[in-house]
Amino acid sequence: MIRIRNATKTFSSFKAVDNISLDIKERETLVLLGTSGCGKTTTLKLINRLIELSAGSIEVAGKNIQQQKPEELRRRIGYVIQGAGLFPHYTVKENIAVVPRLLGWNKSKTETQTSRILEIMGLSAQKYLWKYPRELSGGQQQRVGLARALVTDPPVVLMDEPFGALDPITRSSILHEFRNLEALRHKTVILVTHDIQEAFELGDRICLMDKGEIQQLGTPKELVFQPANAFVRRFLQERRFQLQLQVLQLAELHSYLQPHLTFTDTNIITLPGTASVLEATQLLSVATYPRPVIALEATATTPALHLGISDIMAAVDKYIQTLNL
Amino acid sequence: MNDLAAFVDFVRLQSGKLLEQTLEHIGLTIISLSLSIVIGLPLGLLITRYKRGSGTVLGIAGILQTIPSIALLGFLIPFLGIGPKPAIFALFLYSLLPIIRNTYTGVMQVDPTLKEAARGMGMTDWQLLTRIELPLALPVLFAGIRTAAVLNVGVATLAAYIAAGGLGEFIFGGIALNNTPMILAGAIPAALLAIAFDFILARLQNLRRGRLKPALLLFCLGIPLFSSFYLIPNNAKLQAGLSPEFAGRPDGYPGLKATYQLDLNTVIMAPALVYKAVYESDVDIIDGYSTDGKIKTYNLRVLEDDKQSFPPYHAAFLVREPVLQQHPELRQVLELLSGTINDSLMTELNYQVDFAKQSPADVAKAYLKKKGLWQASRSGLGETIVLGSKIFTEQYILTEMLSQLIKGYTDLQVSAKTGLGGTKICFDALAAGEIDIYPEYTGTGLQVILNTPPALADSLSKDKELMFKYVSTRFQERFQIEWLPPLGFNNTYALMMREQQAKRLHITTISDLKHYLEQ
Repeated sequence: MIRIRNATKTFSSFKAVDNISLDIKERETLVLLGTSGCGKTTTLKLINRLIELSAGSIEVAGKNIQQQKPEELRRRIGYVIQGAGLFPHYTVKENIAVVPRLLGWNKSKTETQTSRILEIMGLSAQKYLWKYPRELSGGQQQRVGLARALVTDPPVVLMDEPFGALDPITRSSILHEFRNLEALRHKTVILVTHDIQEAFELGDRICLMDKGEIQQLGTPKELVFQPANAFVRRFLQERRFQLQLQVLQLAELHSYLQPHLTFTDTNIITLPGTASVLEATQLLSVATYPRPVIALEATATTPALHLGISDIMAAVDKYIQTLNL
Repeated sequence: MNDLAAFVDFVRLQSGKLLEQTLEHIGLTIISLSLSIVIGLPLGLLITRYKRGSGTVLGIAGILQTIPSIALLGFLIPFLGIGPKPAIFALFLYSLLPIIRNTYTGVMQVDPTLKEAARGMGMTDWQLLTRIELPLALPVLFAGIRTAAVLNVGVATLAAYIAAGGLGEFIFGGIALNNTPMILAGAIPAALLAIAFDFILARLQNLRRGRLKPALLLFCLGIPLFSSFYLIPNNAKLQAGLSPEFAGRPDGYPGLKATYQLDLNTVIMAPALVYKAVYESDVDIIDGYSTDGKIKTYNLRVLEDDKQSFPPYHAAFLVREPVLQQHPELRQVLELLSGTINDSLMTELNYQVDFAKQSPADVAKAYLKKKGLWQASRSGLGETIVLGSKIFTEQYILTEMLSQLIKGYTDLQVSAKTGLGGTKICFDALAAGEIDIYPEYTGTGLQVILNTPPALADSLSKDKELMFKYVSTRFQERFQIEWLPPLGFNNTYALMMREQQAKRLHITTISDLKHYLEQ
């Protein structure tokens, strides 16, 4: 969907982005991760030409961006920024209708789509269309910001630290919703963040950057278990264990799990094989009595299993040992 | 309470004039403000795009605003003449700064992330400007326009100085004539106008977006309406430019009108600017003082007051009687100058100091030598005589002459306290014995110091001998101060024309002028 080839951006003598090549697949969520100043935001803005390339080329949907008018390019790409960036003199309705207006949509189409997307974002159109941004909470503003980027159903959406300005609780609830958002499922999303947790939760693939260069591009699992260099290892060091649990699915532990007696009288939680190990351990660590047990669903090739926390931790340990060998 | 009643009376009597001035004032303000908006707003926007130019543009606009208004109006006369044109141009220059600066600041303070969001969504630079930057800059931008409007209402009073009318006519006339109701009749409407402009602009700012357009349209239609009354053609034979004091004082233009049945086509101007205006042929007749050095500088002809309409202002030295008693030898010296200086001679002497830039001492010495009166200083060690003078050239020269004479003819010492602010300061100093001698004018003595009732003053004015006798008798009785015999010249009001034009039209007296106008 997006091809970046040898992209370089130089500000006077400073190379913000240094010879990056990157392919972003259709319907993929790619996270650009790194510390501030690593070049991730610059890379994002190169794609919609808010920053112009110094060298190299970028194609979006097969067309070289340099051969299009920047305004027209941008109108076809959704754009979400930190703190939503809503225009304070526009109502929610006017804010969402900015791009439809630029595209010259007629009034009724604009109105229908505006209300529809707002409802999808979990805000009642009737209640919120006429409000001004200052009357909304941070979380609501961010939803409107998302609605504004998605209202024209663009195939590509660029997001620049979209959840950066939210408090932790609002943030985690929006993150959760965001991951399950149907409207985003068929889109190619490029999201910039400095938050490791967020990157691992949302990214199909993660592109970890430093000093304008790509340090590693891969799935979350690859970054955790096969760090490409010392920088990647160091970058993930602090959260390594949690990330390991997060990227592993229960089904992957199957061959390391001991068949176990079936509990009968305990609190049983059933999970699919695709659930993450982290989710399972979090459910098991809830301090109630009787202690809960995870029931892993049977698949075509594997039988159903009942697991306690110690079973899971032992299996994880074995999994990692095998990898290291 | 008396003032209030006088004020109400004045407004009732002059309501027509007041309305006219108010309309002129509004016109001046609106036209100049519109010009500033039309020029300043795009300029302000331009420097948000080409930031390198912002320092220069704001700097120039800032410098323009520091030019003193009367000086600016003076600069403009050679290019734009007098009347509304230079006034509007000056007001336009003054209101540029707040408009440019606030446009620039307003747009620059719009959150950069909003601008980036707008561009990221695909707005063109023009759309960014009109949909995001301008609406968000509007409060700051409007504050600039409001500042400029209030500023313009205030500065527009100065338009009266160059015959552009407005409420300044009453204000400056009132100040010149010490007429409080007249000042108030100009100042109060001006203040109300400033408040009204501010209020209306504030309302305009808060209009919903939909209603802004009709309001703007109305505004655009209103401007030609206000401009129109500056276009009324003026085809008088001769145009007079009068200072507010002369135009209002009973012994000035009103007296002239009564004595000669003279009806001039007049405009009001600053005393400092009338000479320039007549020189540039913006007006043909001006008022002034008959011994002013500028008469020679600008080659003007003083029209002879053949029916003695202007009151006599004969110059003479005022001396405290005790001084004369202690030093009887002084009298003879003081009278050496009596009757020796006529009008044109005094004009010439003033000219030498004011425009040929010689010192009053040199001019005085040269004159005394020419008359054979000069004697080298005796460097005597006698008592000290203190001379005073008001703060203008003629008085400096006279005081200097007297000082040189006293030093040359007596053993007394002389010290001078020159540049005393005005009549009252000079006279009070004399009465208190702080100074011993200073030059004064009979008319001033009669009107300002003795406060003679108008009717009596009028009848005395007709005869200069009688007037001198009256004044000197009264001063002796009341203050023990003596008027020495007059020096000879009469520094009174005068009507003047350009020498060339007066010659061509054969006008030497005010009666000639009247005849010419009636032909």
